[in-house]
Amino acid sequence: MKVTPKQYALALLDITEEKDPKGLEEAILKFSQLIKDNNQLNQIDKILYYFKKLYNQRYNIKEAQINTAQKIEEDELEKIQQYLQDLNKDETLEFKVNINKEIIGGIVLKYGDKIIDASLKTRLNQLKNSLLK
Amino acid sequence: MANNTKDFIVEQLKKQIENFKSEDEQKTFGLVTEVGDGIARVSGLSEAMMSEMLEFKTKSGSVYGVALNLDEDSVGAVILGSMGDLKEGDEVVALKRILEVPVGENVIGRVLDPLGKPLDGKGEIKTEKYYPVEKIAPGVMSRESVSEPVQTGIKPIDAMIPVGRGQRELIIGDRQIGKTAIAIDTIINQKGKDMKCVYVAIGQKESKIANIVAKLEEEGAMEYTTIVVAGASDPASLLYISPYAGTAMAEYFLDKGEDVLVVYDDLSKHAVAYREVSLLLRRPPGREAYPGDVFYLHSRLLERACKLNPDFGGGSITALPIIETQAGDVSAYIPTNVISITDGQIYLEPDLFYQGQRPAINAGLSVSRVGSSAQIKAMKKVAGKMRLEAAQYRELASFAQFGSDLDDETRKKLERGKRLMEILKQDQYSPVDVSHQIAIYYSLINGLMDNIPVEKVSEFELGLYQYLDDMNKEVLDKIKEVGKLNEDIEKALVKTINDYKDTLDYLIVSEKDTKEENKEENKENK
Repeated sequence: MKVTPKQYALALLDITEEKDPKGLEEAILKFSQLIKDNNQLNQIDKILYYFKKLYNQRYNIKEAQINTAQKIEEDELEKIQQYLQDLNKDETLEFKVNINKEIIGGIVLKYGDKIIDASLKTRLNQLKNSLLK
Repeated sequence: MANNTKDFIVEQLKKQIENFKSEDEQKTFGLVTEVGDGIARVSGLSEAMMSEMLEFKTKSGSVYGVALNLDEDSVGAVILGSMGDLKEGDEVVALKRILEVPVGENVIGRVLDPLGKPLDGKGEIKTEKYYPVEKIAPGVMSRESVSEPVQTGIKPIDAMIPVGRGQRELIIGDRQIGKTAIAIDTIINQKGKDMKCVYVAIGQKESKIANIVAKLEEEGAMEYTTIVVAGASDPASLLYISPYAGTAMAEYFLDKGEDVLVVYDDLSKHAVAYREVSLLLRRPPGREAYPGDVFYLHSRLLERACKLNPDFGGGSITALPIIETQAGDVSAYIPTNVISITDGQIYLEPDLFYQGQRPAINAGLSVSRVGSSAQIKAMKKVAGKMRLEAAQYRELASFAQFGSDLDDETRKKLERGKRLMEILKQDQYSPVDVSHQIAIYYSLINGLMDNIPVEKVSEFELGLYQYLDDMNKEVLDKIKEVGKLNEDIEKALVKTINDYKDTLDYLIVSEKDTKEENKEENKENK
């Protein structure tokens, strides 16, 4: 039977669990050798995608993205991060700050598969739709 | 003055903008991982619901879709309308609501697509109300048995296969033998009968739809009709939702306690569209490659046709689904499914059609499981005898085909049967009023037409309608008012028919009469 990328990712997660750096290196080497032997190297992107997902799931980590149009002040950023942390009390958040000129203004927060869209672009669109009605 | 209007407009705009409030709520989002053939696979969206609306954010604006497959790590969705610039990696937001269409009085007389967008160029539909496309049908306690007739205006149907308000009557037959014609004639005949109509065209040629719209407009039928169009060039996803959208529009009137007629033209194309969507979503194929839930696809749609009891408004939805068979094969998958769901079927036969019997209704294979309780008494009385007459004729005709030596009784039956078959013919777009139908059937079963030559029957029929309208309108009105044939009405009817016959010059003069005339002439000569 064919092994799916998800199963590879799960295996990788299991063999790397609670290993010291040396054992980790060895495990990863063995794992990549296995993938090469099975002619599955073309699947590596998918395996890594699932690995990230499964890893985050196991250790209760969520990726959080903060998108703004301009660069944001330190203290404001902290407030936003605190706000997101309050929304996800049980999880550790990994923050990423992006600058995206397309949203014109405001802020778009993404964490896990949730989104809070408070961008100027969306609001203008909503205003346009309500005026057209 | 001009300045004032300008200021007014600016003020209004300012007010509108001031009143505008937007709330930023938390939404579920995902990313497109795969697109093609009208479907998209989306990762994320962990909380998406079944048939929830999804907004795909592309560079050139939003595209909408519906979640149909909820898998372990992805959601399969169909895209409604054009795919636009949708590409892998685009953002998808779940809208937390089920697909809705605009409903209300304003949709009447319009030609719409399945999402409620106008196709007739008469501007946006302005309605306050939106109804969900998928809705659970009314339950047992809110229903009532069918008791009022839908007058189709088609003689063989109203007499032999009557349709009641709230019934589901299937129209089935091969291509090009008049299935749509029956539905359109029925819609035309609903004028002034307190009935709203919804015509759902599924996968039809745009040219055919244009003809239908033009015809309905010409007959003044668009005053109470809505047309929902998912044409042959629209994506399968739109064909799939169109009958549900049409029913949602009908349900608005149902909830107001009104009667609605919905025509689905046709459900075999609908099933094919659903098969396409299902196979693209990689659902396992079953018989004829249809997915496992095609039966549910049609049963949940047709269950929404109903007659509500007065406590629930007393409205009704009558459904006329159409199924196209391949070379008369009624035992294919979809036809058998829909036959078993509906309350009867009108079966159209190619042989009859090519013999010139139009509408080509096969009275033997067509049934109506509830309709006869919905006929008015007068019609029930004449139709009962007429059906017997027709059955006897069919039996004798096949029997007498080879022999020529027949007794008087049989010949009489055959002669009357021939006239009956003539009466059952009817031109397209010319529905016949119930009272007229009763008059013509009455004259047939009582032998008043026995001396009309067979080839003159249709001429006699039209002449009789005209004569009745001109000379004795009260009888017709009374038939409709009283609903049954009492002695007074019968007498008046017979008298008028005989009066009309006296004006004709093509009556067959029987041998006895001619002999007497000859004798008289001889006497005079002597």
